[in-house]
Amino acid sequence: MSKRQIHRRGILAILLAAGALSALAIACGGGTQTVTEVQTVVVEKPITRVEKVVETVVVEKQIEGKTVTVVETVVVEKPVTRTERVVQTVVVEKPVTQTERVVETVVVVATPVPATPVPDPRSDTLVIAFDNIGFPSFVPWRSPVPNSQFAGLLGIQESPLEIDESGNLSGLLAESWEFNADFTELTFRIKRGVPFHGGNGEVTADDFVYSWEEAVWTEGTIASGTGLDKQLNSHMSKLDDYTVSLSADEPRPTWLDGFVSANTTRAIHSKAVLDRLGPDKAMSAGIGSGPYELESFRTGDRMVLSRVPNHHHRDPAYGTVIVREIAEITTRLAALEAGEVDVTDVPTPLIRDIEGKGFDVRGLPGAGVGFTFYPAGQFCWGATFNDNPVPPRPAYDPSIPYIGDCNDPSSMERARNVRWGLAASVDREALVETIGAGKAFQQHVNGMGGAQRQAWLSEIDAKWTIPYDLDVAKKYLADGGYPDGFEADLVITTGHPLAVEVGEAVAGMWRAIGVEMNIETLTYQAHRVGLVNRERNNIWLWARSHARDGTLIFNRHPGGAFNPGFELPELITLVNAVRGATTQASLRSAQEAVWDYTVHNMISIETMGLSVTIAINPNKIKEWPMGLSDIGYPRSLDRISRP
Amino acid sequence: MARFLARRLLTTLLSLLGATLLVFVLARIQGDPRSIWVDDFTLRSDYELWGKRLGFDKPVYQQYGLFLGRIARGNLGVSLYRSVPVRDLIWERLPASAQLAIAGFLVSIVIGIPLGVLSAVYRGSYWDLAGRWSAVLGVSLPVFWVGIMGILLFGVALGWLPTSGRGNLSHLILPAFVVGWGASSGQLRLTRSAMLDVLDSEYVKLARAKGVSGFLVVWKHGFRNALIAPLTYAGLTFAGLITGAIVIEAVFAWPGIGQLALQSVQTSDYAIIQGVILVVTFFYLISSLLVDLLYAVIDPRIRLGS
Repeated sequence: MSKRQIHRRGILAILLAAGALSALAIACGGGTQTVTEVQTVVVEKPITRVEKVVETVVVEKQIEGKTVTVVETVVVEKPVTRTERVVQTVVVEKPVTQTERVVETVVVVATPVPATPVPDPRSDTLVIAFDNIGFPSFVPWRSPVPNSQFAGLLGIQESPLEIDESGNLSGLLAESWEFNADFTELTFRIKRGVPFHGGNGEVTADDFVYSWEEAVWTEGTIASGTGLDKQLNSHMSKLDDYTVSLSADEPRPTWLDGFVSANTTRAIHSKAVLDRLGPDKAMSAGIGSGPYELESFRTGDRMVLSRVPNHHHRDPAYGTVIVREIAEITTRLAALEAGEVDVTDVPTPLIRDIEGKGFDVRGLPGAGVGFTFYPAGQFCWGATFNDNPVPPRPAYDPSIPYIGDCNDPSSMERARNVRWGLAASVDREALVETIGAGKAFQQHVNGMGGAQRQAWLSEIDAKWTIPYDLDVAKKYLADGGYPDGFEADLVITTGHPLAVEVGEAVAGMWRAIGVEMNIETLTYQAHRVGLVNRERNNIWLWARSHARDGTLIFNRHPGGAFNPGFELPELITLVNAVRGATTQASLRSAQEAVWDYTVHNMISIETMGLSVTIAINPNKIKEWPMGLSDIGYPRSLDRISRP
Repeated sequence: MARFLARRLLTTLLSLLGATLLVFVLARIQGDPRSIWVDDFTLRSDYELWGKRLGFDKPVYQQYGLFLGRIARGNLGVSLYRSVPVRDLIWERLPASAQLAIAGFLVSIVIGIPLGVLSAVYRGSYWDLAGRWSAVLGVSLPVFWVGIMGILLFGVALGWLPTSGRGNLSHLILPAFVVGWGASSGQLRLTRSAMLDVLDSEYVKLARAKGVSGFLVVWKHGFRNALIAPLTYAGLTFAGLITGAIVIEAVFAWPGIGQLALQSVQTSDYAIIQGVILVVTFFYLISSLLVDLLYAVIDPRIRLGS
């Protein structure tokens, strides 16, 4: 092979390499940037060198005394300039299509240009990982318990109102609203010109009425949150095309809380779509009026949402949101670290670790879990309920230390002391520091977490804090008739990863005052059967989500299907007063009375609370002021702002 | 052959019937599935009405009869959670499970059989040592741990493979390897011991004495005769992989029927649990039948029905 051939092949190789890099860059996409680059190129240029040159010269010589002229060939050194093709290293500025590989290997000094005409395929996509995305069940009255909470949380379907981080309400589908004087009637004026997805008409009063009446009054539906509306005979009627009125037999001053997007039993569905598609197809179509439209739903895998252009309320920052189902927390966090996922939940004990890796960790406003021990079996309802005989309560057994005889005040006081003994022997600070990794909080009052806890902090400090004091605990037990303690059954229901740890730790604390627990670990659903049938009289641990209105969860009477283990007529009277309160002041006073009662009687033993926390990739999300909700999943996607 | 087939089909049907009874009883041991759905305000009257619709007001034997009748018509019931046919839900998830099972099965065969043969042929060598270690680790390491370690190493630290989900081929590599490695251990041990038996037999010695090449001795005379045990195992492994990769599907977020079953247990959706178990049983029985039929193809000494 000649030198020329080698030379040609070298050039060819350089050109091929450059071409390949370009193709790679184009194939991978990416933005265009101007970069300063070191290149090896072949150029033609004049080169001057000192060379030995053969020259013919004419010289005069002296030969035999005569001067003669002769021609001679001589070798001389002299500068010679020639135009040659040379290989040269040059520094050039040129636009390149950037890929990660180019950035790492080629760019010497990069000057990024902010505008990127070629979008990164993932730049407009946000990926969120949930433990379970459920099924595409977006019509609440079609399945016993709909999965459609995501429809509201993620902004697919909308409710009349939205709520901000502090709990303030504002209009979403409703332009305005007002109560009548006694809070038994609520009128909504509907925003005009709000379209349903896919050209399915606009939201009108017919859709409001249809959605309410079907959700609450479809025969046999037990859609979440509708039971109370049935109890109060709530119906909605159309006043005109854009005005509806909702009425109930009793005052509902807290009604509005149920009309925020996080609660989709109040989401507004298109009557026309349901009539046209039929409920089965409409259930999976997920048509709403929210800022995101459901593109696809693959059960067990992912749902894909796309931004609705020119939304009537707010334009979301991301064009596509993918919500992936990843059941295992370790895998969710691995996907976050690998950059496959931008947002996921993070368990309390791992918060510091995840923060150390550069992710933002924040709590979901209003969402959390409290670890509550219920001494079950205190069923004190009378003989009838709504003129019907009360079904048997097999768990009611006053011979158990923490259950009193409902007809004997001294027995009730004795049982109350036993329950207080158990409560006072729980070292909540130790639980928070160890199991809660310092990121949890002490919980003293049932049903009080998240926003409720913030609102009542001064009262908790003033009168509801249960001090950890073993001497006091033993005195309570002695007053309850058990100075040496007793033996009881403890059921730890699984469902939260820390439940078993908390249950065993508290059982250990009770051992210190002589109360020996026989621990059984059961799935929550297996235990629940016995609760519904009023068959449980053990102490049981429930890692329960915080409720938005913590006082209404004490609505425990024979007419309700679920009951954690107590029916107390005085308590129901107090809860009814909360429901009937017509001013903020009377509402607060009624709620305080409920908590006074439950703490005084130690209906349940509270230990520790946790907020639901999520980890966020800071390169994808700058601000995310989520609305207040007790549902433990990210929400308010339309409020995300990008860095 | 026909008698054999008839007898096997009959036992298959009886096994399925037994499975339906078992499934029906087990699904109800967990208790009334309605109790998981009711919330703080659910009325007792709605709870009871719902039970009536689901047939809970009827005696248990009648409920079982109705259940059998539906299955005979190919109806696996309706999901309590979503109010859609269970058959559709399982059908939706089956391709993912089948894909993972086939890939895992191939991995188990590719690892298990050659290593098993090499272990036997080069007994006591490094090949043997490597094979036995692979088998011991594959059996003893919990699959969820191997899965998570794989994710952390290849997905997070090295970034070579996706951590989870079902997508292109790269999504399949890690879960298939984890599933396949565990299954390959049994395959390897069975192949090795069967090969050792065969290689020690008289006809193999004769073949060697006659000057037959080592390759032919091992793969034609030895391997074919040692194949019965690994084949039986492979058939059951395959059925098990389709339905039994529950943990792996959960770890890798693989949307198969294992994950569906797990979620149904958590939500007490007994209709889905019943459906999944019946499908699992069906696969096992069919695999077992196919393996029995293959025996005759592989080993002419076996005459089915004789």
